[in-house]
Amino acid sequence: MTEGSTAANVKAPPILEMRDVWKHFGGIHAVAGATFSIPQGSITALIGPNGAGKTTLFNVVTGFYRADRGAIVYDGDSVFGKSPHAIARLGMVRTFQITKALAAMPVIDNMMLAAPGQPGERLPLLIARPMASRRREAEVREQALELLSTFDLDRKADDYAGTLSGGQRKLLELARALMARPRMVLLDEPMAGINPTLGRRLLEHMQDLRANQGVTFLFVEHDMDVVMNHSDEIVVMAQGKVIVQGPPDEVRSDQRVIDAYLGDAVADGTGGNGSAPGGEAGGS
Amino acid sequence: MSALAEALPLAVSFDFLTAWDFWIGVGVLAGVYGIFTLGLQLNVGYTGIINFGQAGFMAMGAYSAIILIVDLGIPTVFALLLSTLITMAAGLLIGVSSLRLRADYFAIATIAFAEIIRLTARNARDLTGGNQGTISIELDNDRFYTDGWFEISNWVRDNLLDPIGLGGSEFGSLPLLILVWGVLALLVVVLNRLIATPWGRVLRAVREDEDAARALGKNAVAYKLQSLAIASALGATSGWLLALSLESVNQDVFDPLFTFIGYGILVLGGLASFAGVMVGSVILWTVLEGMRFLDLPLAADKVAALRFVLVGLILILLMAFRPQGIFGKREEMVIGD
Repeated sequence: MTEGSTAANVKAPPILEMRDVWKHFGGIHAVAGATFSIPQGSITALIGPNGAGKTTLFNVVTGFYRADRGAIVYDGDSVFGKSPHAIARLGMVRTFQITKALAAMPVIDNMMLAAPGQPGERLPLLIARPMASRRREAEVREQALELLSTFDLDRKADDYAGTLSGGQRKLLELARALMARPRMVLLDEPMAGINPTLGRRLLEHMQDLRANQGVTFLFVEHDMDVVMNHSDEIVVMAQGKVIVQGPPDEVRSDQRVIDAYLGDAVADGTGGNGSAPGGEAGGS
Repeated sequence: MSALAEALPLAVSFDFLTAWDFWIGVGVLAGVYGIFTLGLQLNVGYTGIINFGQAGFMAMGAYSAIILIVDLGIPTVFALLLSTLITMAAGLLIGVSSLRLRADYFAIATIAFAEIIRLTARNARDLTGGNQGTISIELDNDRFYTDGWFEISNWVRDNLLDPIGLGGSEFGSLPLLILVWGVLALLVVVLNRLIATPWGRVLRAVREDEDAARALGKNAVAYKLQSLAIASALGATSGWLLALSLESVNQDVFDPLFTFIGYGILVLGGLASFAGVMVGSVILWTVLEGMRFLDLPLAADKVAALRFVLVGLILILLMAFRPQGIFGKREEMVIGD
């Protein structure tokens, strides 16, 4: 369905594809048949009014919730039903809306934890090859400090993560996700609570990583300036469904998006509350 | 002196300073429960798992070793190895079946496990000797699990301790004290090193936020299971050493109460410190046992109860003035999410 509307512009093969994904909690369908695909190397914004199912969708994609049904294909392989750590190891790494800094651990440990390929994280290898573990530690520490300095956190490296401000924690969480050498990063409201200067740097860094390493970004954001100016593609969700997907210019003027944000009053007046949204969605 | 003692309602007799055998016994207990609590420290202080079943692992280690030695005649060293593996398997089993539960429910599942072990030991008389203790199965088989150790212990006393004037009967348990504290010190060194590795870092990450760890590709459940398996092995080790010091065990010594004595040690010493466990254990057992020397105008059972009142008081004062414990880090305690 949505593929029809987005096939106009030629783009890279999708790195993430979701087809008719459903997730309900009791009687509420938080995600109700969401379908979209994310082109490789793109920066895609996921927007929608509160309660549209954006965070639930993130949780479903990254394995924190198990979808009721549907297909979730990442990089050609189904990740439906896979556990979060297994999905993260495939290179799809997320951050959380409410930051999860590992508070009683130093900032540098937060960073080093995320690095993949540390043999010392497994007891048998740790005992059998202690030097390999130590070598990797040295490498990882260097990378971590470098990344911390791009986010202005290098002077905080040895402080407990719990002593950072809210904005700094957001940055730490992003930096930590990048330490995992992801191919795709899912950011849940990365700009919330950080000052505009740092926010700009964060966006520049995203553009940079996309350009140089081909990292794909999918982010939930409420700041429309950021969404319109920094994404190649926008996915709009409402009531658990994807109602529109397209480049910012198209989405900006789409009547369905305006309706979704301004409420049903402007639209045809059907008060779809949660479980069975009106037939306008789908966009075929 | 005695007139003075009678004149004061509360007086201390100074015999305790010279009661070597008594204090060596206290030292053995402190060491045994130190090893016991190292497991709790790994679970609670470093992994964020609340394990209320440590006394069950202790019982399992002690009983399985004793049964293997006494009933089956397996050489002590192999029996110890095997009993540790059996206990670790039990730890994994309870972990696999219950770690999905929320932390507090998991704690309840572990205490239930410990009670199952203890009550089974009480009722399976043919296997464990029931309430009479393992001495009854030892007599039946005419084989004593302490035999192997006493050989070593006597050799140490005759050849090492006697020449330096420590061969008297009041030093009878000194070899055991040396063994227990040697094991404890070694374990503290090993665990301290282990926790400083990337493996330990993942454990701490799981403690801080399981979901964050999982989002970074760490299999949180696998790490919790490893933590639990190591804790159960430490419990088994402490169980065996306790059995050596008691020379016959029955289910009373594996009461859940002892798990909570372990938690008392943990709180005293401070979370996330293995050295704190050693110090906490010495303090707790010195207070608990040292109070026996207080001459109080009270019945013996009241004095026994009063010992725990005093320990409680110490813990309350600690919470008020040094909530992080003796070795705990205050910063780690006060920072929130």
